[in-house]
Amino acid sequence: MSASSPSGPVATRPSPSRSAEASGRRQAPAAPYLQLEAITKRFGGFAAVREVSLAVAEGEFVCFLGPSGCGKTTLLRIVAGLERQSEGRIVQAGRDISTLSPRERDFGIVFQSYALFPNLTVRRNIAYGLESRGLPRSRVRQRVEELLALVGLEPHADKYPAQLSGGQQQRVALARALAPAPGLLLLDEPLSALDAKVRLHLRHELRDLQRRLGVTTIMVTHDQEEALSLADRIVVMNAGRVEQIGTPIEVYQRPASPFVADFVGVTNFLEAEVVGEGRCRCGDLELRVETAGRRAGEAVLLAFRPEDALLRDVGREANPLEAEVLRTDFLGPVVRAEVAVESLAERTFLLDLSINLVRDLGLQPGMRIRFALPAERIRLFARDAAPWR
Amino acid sequence: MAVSATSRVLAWRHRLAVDLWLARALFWALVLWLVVALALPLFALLRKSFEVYRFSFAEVALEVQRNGVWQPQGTLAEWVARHPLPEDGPRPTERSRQPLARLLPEDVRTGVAAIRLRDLSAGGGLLLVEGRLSAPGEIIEASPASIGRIFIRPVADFGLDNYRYYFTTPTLRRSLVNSLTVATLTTLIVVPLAFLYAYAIARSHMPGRALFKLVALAPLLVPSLVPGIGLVYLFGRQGLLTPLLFGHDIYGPIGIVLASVFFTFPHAFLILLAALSLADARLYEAAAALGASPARIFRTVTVPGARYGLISAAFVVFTLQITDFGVPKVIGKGYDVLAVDIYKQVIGQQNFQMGAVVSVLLMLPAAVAFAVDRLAARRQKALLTAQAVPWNPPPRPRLDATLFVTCSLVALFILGVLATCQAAALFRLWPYDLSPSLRHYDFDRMDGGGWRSYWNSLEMAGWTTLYGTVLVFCGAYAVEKIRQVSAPPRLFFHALAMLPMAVPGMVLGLSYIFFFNSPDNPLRFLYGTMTILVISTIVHFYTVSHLTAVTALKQLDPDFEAVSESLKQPLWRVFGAVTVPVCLPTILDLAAYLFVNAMTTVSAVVFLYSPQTTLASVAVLNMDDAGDTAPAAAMGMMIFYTCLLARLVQAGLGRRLLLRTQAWRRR
Repeated sequence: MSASSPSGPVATRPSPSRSAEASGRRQAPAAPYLQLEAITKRFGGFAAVREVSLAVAEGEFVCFLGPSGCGKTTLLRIVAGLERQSEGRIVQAGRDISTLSPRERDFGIVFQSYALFPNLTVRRNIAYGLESRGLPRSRVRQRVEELLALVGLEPHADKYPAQLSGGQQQRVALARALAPAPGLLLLDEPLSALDAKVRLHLRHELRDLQRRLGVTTIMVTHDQEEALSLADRIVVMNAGRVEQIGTPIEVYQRPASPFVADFVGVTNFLEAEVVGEGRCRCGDLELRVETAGRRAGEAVLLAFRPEDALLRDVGREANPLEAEVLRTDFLGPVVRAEVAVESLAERTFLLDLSINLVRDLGLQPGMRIRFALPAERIRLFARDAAPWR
Repeated sequence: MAVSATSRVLAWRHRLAVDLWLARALFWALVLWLVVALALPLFALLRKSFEVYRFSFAEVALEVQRNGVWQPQGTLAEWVARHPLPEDGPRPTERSRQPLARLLPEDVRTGVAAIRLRDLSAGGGLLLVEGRLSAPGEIIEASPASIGRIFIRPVADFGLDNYRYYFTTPTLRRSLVNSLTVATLTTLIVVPLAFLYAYAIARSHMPGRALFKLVALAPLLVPSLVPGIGLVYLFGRQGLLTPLLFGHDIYGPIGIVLASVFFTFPHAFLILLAALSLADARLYEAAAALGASPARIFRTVTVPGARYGLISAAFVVFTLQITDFGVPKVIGKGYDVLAVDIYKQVIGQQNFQMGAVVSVLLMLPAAVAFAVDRLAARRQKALLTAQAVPWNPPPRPRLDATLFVTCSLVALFILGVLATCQAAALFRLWPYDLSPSLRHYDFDRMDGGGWRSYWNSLEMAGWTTLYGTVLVFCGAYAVEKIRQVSAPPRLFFHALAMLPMAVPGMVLGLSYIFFFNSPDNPLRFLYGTMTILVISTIVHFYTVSHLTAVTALKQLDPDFEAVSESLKQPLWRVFGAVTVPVCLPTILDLAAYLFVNAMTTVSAVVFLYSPQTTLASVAVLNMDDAGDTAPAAAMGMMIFYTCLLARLVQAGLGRRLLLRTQAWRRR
């Protein structure tokens, strides 16, 4: 089976745009495949999703990322038609599907629990969505074999779900969802029920499969690592709102809000006030930052990642600080140090230091160190931004 | 090709819409069915209990003609004030009629040439003249000679008078006290006994535990009339064991309590067995490690662990006893209790209002018990944590022996009662003439409908099983799984489904009379048919069946329907391919439960059967009533064997179906 070929047996929905996708992905497709317009969902007085707008390109892998209760699963269920939005419109492949029932929409879904039918064999689970569609039986059988091969479960075809491992069950669920060749694949925390090692392995498998099939995919997850490694774009959600939409690198390096900075990766925060072009004051200390049009006197929140601190050549960098190491946590490739900065009234920060550096400096608790914060690595947020913690 | 694909998609969408529409229609049909078969009859009953009839004399004007002159006399009320009635008759009912002649006795009538009555009421109908009702404002003229053809009808009113009357009538009040007494006594005996029995089976190494368990469940397979009959044979005037009563009479409270112990025992036993089979070993190990004595462990770990089961069992037994009609009917004789009062008021005195009042009173303990039971059941589940480690008690020879003796005595009592009934049925005159004879099985020569009753019962149980299982399972499925129906109607349906548990069978039967036998009910044609027996039986046993089905459905992944929908399959496909096969053991259990209860129930159907639809269980009652005790016992045992067979079929069929459809359960 040649999955790379768009006319191969698995890609049974050959479309001109799909084959174009196969050669050059993410090359600004003309119209988005899926478009959400100002989706709002209220349960009684509580708004679970507020005015979410989003465009997903064909073949794109999008992750909804956020803490539990942020509305990401509700949003996914709205896309599936399992919940009806209170306001807003959904357009898929040029068709307004806002009021259509799940069955009238074109998607496959994998639930967190997989919801495999326990009394049907793997083969019959996969065939479930193909039967009673007027397809000849031989075609159904052929398609099931294709999917079994695709997810590598041929030897287990006649087992029942309870006889499979968690990872195998997950693959069956995926194969079942993909069997009718849907235009959109929805994944609701598909990896969260698995143990860490299997999860990592399946994550790569999932990514490969999605790339090979070129099926537009939306995945809901609360695991930032999963989102960063899988997604073409991440939609970070908080309290029903979209905080940021961007590629993993954008989301990580240029978080749009303190919430994103805090939720994705680890961030140190520091309250400050703009005093002039490129300058902020924090207590008695003045720091050089990129103020980018903010007026003097504005209250801001400074944010930097633990790995952004520089310990070598401190003298030549901006914003040199002196601190005492309070604690070190060995995390494998790096050591995370908690330090207290004297000139900032003993405020504590987390710094990630490479093992080499720690060895060179002979770093240990109680030691005094000097580090610099490069101005371009410090991000500025308005301090009146909604509280996120 | 594109065209054919499009047309297929369109056809597909059409079919999908139909299945959703059907699901919704099905749900509302089920709601309608519970409203008609339960809510409306109960409302009719409640209404009836407040219905008071009185003569509205103030709304009838009277004129008399003397010497050719019409003399207005004001209203009849004013007339009665001037010419008091001899005395009040019994409390008026809808059937009471006041003859005009009684208001205008001959001595007052002298010199009257004619009278005129005028119906002043807005609705009319206060006067009855030769079977015709007066229209509003109509004037009826009569000569003194023809005064006898005029009657005054009572009008219906609503008030608390019936309740007031109930509580001021000592004979009626006494039944309330009697009911509470025997129900309390039965509870106090059954719960500890059932606890010991369940403890022995769940926690001891006593031999023969499986057999003991089967024996304990045997009373479920007979109508509650049967233990009454068995006890009469054992302890009655010529009974074998009568000396054991030391001169006390089995007829009355002693017999009621003993027979109630028999038929409530399995219910308490099952609840306590469930409560005791969940033991957390860690608690026992901790207690033992802290040096607690076995008695202290029992007091501080075992009993508290089952406390919700104990509470639940106590209330269930209390309710079963107080709402049961069969036992006191057979063995109560002069000792009146509430359930028998309803029967007497309705069947004996045709006093429907008072029957309704007693019914409402009877619902109170049942409602309280039901609420407590649900609460206790919820708590009991919460006790079962995921971390609990099953406890395997060590053999304790002395305790095991004691429990064996206790259980043997209970089992002996149960089997003894059943064996006595069987012996009474098979011998010419047990225990005096022990020549075997089948004459007691010649039901056609007795009251109660003969063999036809038995076949009717089978038919009724068959329909109840078929329709009941389908209705209950679909109803539970609708409540649990149909997302297209919004939450408030689902909760409403769920609440309706819970209601039958709080409604004793007698009360349900009576409410059916009020509702289905009302002249302006379009469903009146059902009255007296097999259909109404089936409907009442399904409703009577609805709650337990519904909860069983809901519990089974709750164990299914809530996303099955969503997955099926996303795979563009109609609702009935996931229902047929997954839900029903997975729930098959539960469905079989439901069917057997409904069958056995339909065979053994007396309370609701006793008001509803007609000469064409006599039932075996009712035949037991009627034959016993007519003095044909041995044939009653024979019929009771026929029911027993039929139910036993049904349970055996369930077990056998269950095993075969499990092998075929439940292969996935084996790992």
